[in-house]
Amino acid sequence: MGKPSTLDVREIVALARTEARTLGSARIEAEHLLLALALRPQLSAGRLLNAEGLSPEAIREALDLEFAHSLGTVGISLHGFSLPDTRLSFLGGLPFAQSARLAFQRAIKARTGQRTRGLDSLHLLIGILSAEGGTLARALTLIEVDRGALMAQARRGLERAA
Amino acid sequence: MSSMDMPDPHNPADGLAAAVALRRLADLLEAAQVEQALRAGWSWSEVAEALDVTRQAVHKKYASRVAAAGVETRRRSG
Repeated sequence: MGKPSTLDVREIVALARTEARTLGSARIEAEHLLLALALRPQLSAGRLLNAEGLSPEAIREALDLEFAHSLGTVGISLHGFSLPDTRLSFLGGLPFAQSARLAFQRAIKARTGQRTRGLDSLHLLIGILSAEGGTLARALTLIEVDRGALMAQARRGLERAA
Repeated sequence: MSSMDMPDPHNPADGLAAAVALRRLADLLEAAQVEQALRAGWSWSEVAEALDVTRQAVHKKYASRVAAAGVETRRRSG
């Protein structure tokens, strides 16, 4: 995996913002940060995600699945109904949703005790995956991704790089 | 957590996720329909009336997004 690299947080946030806009979200959420990492196979986290089958497309599909599944809870089915296309995406710097804020806080926590100064992409991945509830955790459960196992892999990756 | 196979509105995790999904659905639907209405020549006032909000509110929420998407809007009327 090479040396722990300093994550270009600004680049990841910019990618996440584009994902959020494309998906019609008014805020940057944890799932958009995960998509940003998956879009960057040159980062350890992106490589790990893609190797585990979590390509950007697979993540988007899981999010769609969670959306349909949660609507199904209250008897709403999107079958036979496709949302009309809109090009009205949110502009400007989208604010962070709480899930994204927590992902960064947990990423920083995951770094403590390690001798790295910057944040590694794997720290952010651990931060994102730490959430036990919420849309992303549900989406990953639906496609049978073991968050715990993925986090353990990320930790091993960091140990190898240290 | 919930059993993901059988969503259950009495389970808080499923119920809260449903509320989040409904909000998202409403937002997506509103944006798409506002765009469609404006493209069809509706005025901001007409859109506002249909949504039961002020013209200012709907304009503030969508004007820059509509302009960026290249939608021609009608001049103020009525």
